[in-house]
Amino acid sequence: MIHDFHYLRPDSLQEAMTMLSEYGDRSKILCGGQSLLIVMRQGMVAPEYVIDIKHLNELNYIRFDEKKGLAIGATTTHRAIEKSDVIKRRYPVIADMENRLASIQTRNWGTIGGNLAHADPAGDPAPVLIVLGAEITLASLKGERTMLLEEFFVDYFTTQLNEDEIIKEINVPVLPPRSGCAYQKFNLLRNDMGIVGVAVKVTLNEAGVCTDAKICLGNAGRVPIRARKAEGAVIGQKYDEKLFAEAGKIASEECEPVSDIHASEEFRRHLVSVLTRRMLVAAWKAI
Amino acid sequence: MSFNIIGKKIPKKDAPFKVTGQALYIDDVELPGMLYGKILYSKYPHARILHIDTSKAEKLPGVKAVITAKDFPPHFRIGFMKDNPPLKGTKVLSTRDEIAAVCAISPEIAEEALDLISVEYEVLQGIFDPLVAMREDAPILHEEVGSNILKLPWRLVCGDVEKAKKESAYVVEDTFTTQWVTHCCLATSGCVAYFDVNNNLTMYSNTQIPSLAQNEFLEALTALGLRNRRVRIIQVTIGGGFGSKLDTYPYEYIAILLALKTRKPVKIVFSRDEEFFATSPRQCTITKISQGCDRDGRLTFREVEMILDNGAYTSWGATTPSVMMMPISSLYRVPNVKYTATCVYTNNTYCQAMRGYGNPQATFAIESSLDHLAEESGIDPYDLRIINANEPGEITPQGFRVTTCGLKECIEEVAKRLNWKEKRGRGLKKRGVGIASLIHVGGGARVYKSDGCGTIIKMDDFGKVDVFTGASDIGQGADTVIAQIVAEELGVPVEDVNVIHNDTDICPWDVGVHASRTTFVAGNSALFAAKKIKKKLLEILSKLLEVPPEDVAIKNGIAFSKSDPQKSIPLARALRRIHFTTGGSMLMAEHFYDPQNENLNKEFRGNLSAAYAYGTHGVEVEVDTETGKVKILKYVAAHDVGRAINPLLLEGQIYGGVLQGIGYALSEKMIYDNGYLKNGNFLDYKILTVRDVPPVEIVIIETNEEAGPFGAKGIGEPGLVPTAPAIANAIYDAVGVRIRDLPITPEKVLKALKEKNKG
Repeated sequence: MIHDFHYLRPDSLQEAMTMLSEYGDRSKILCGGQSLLIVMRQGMVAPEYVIDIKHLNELNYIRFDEKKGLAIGATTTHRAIEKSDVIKRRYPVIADMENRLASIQTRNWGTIGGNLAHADPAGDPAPVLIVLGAEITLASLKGERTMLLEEFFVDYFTTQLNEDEIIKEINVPVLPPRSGCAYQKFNLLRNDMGIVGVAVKVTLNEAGVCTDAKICLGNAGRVPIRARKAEGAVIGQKYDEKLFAEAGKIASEECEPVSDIHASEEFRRHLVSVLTRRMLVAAWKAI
Repeated sequence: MSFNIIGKKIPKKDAPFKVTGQALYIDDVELPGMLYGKILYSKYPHARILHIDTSKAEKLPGVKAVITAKDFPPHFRIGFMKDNPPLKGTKVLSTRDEIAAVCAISPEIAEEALDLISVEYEVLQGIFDPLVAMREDAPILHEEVGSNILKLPWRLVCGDVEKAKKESAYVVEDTFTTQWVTHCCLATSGCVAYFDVNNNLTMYSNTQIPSLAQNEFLEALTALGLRNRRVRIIQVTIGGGFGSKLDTYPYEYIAILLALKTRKPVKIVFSRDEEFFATSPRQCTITKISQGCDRDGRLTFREVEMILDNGAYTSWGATTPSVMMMPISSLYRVPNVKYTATCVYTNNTYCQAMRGYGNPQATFAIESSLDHLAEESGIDPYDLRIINANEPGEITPQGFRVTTCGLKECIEEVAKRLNWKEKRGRGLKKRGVGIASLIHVGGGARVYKSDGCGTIIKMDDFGKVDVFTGASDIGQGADTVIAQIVAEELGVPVEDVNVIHNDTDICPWDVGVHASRTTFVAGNSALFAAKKIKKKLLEILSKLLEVPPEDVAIKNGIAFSKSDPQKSIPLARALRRIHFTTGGSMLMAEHFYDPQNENLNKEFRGNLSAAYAYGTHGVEVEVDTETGKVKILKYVAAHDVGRAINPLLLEGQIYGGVLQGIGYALSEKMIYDNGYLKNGNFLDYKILTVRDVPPVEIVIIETNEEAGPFGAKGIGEPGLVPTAPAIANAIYDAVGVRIRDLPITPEKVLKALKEKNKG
């Protein structure tokens, strides 16, 4: 049962930041509640103040600029991202990922900011955004700071967010020419949390040689993990399924999955290996 | 025969109420002065209770009563074996054991009060494996029973299995295991109990067995010193049952006692968490099965030994072997049969009825083993099934008298639609096909002393019909089907028939909604009651129309002369005519229908049901050999239903069954770790969602069962009975591995593939 709390509803980002600076760790930001309410119901989190920012339209936007790339405001819902024309056109991997994120009801309520702040290593958006090179902007009364999304995650359910900070925006750069992306999670049910998930982005030169590769593994460690050694194995190489299989094997060795009720560590490593290979193939073919 | 209403796809009568939120579920019941009850469960799966201190909880403002085992009569027990005290005072045997309960002016206060109750335990070694519990040196969980093996010697012997085994050309033997799965009702369990000034009890309840619950609560009142009282059960809208509400549970007795103590209505509604860990799942089984056939593929014998994890207490789950016997003895023609089942107490959750009532576990073993036998004998699995298919008119070894039987048609139809001959055995693209069949009771099941159901019908001044039935609608559509049957018989529009089923003060007795019996039994009861009222109606109309009764017909609420249709009268006018006259009358009728079926005798033989339902499922799967994931490409479910009263609802039942069955086969499992449930939520318990629904093709085979209402047989449970083995058989056809343990997870498939490749 959820403990009593004060419900606060700021009218602006400024007001929200003021509340945060006042209540600090006695408060929690509510931005859709698809994760927060669950942990509150389980009694794992019992904030005195809940600051609801879901309605803040100043953070509810999807903008695309040919130079600056994609900007998504923190209160934008998963459903809005899934259905966005510009995202479907420019970053189809994000729209596809969102389409398989939980149920429509959850996507209608849940927001990108809320999802990232919750920092569940099984979350779908982070691996995809990380391979796309996304940055995250955090704001507080003291000012703003921007970092690579992959640096944002610290541990299970822990991020770089300070007590007085709020997620403001996600930025995804414009993809270089001849880039391809792919993401797949492995699960029993179509829209379930991933037992593991693998996102891949590759960029080729005109000769078809890979000049950049990013591989990010979801639910294969405490945070979304970049498989850097596996990336290293494919950079400078051409399309080669044998090589991709080798990269998969490398990725499976550099991740840190755990055994739980849904899968053993061994099975997770195996899946990382298979999915990494498959996503390399898929990313290459997406170019 | 041509019908006006039977066979029509009529939407569920209760659907508008449900989709608009008007339907009243247990959580919606609010009574003046109502209190909220909460239950304190055991911290440990096995422990002695040394001391319970409730004093702090009692002092919490807003708390109106706190009860423990001391508040119940010392020897009061519930359940099929009377081994379950509603509150446990000296010893706990599972993590769902109820130790104390509180009622307060709000659920939050009640919950807070639970935290203030301190319980001192002496933790005991738990037993979580039935095989360990069966060992002679295992600690006895129920001292009063004296053994962990329940005194329920399930044993069916027909013919001479040993001899047949020796004479068989081919014999296979396998062991299969199944998991705990839970019903996942959308509406959780709950009740509101209150006493009037005369100490008569009213229970708002979502039970599936109002009449039996009434009886059990009366026994409880007697035990509490309230003799000769009345118990009234008012059923709210039931958001799913699937067998879960086929018994009475400690929480109901707790609510009764709290209501008695406080003299206020007391509501207990389970949280989703409680619904997962504190309700009773389908029992897990260990099944050793051996089957044989002769050179021509004719089955010679079937031998099955089964161990069931009963859990800590005994509910109806312990009697599921009585239903497992049915497919074991009577699915396909098999002359020699031996079946034994042992139910074993453990410190796990105790098990209950769930859709199919043991049949899915037994059929998983039988139909998987049958494919093994097909391989062993070199006979196509389809041919093996056709050779042995049951036929109308046969009497099975257990003594079932098969009337209608469309099994062969079901198998043929499924094979045709699967393109069996083309696809089977190719293993192309790691795709494969599998089939499995079922038998189930389709004409009630005499598991209780009566298998009956009563109906009262009355007609009002406006030509409308009220049907008071003992049947319960748990979402399956009983109200709609009963309305159709009555409307067809009386010649009135189906919307003019109002079905009332929810109040034991008003409705006649019924044994409960189980055994796929409602359409058959309650349907027949309603039909015979309708025939009685129609006879009276025709006599009256004959006088009013001045034609002989046999010349009167009624259609769409208007009576007319068949020979001279000009002579007609709206029913409503006719009814008013005979009502508003000196010495007037109103039309009423009643009927109690009890099918011509038999209790199983001491040797577990007898014609359990008045008719039997058959069906075959076929599935095409694709297996990802790198991940072990199984994808269903096509699913065909053919069912012999006697007659489809309402194809829309019938298909709904089959769809629902198939999807529940696919969950059983591939994804659902209650994960218990040393007595603690680890996945009691919808995130971790993998029930299929709408996005996981594969293409399902439904084939309705009508055999027109003479004993059924307009020819119908039951269809509530069969939809999930053969699902798991059909899938398992298809996986084998696709990639050559046989998974003998449900659910068939990717990890298991992958492991089996690795082992196969090693070998």
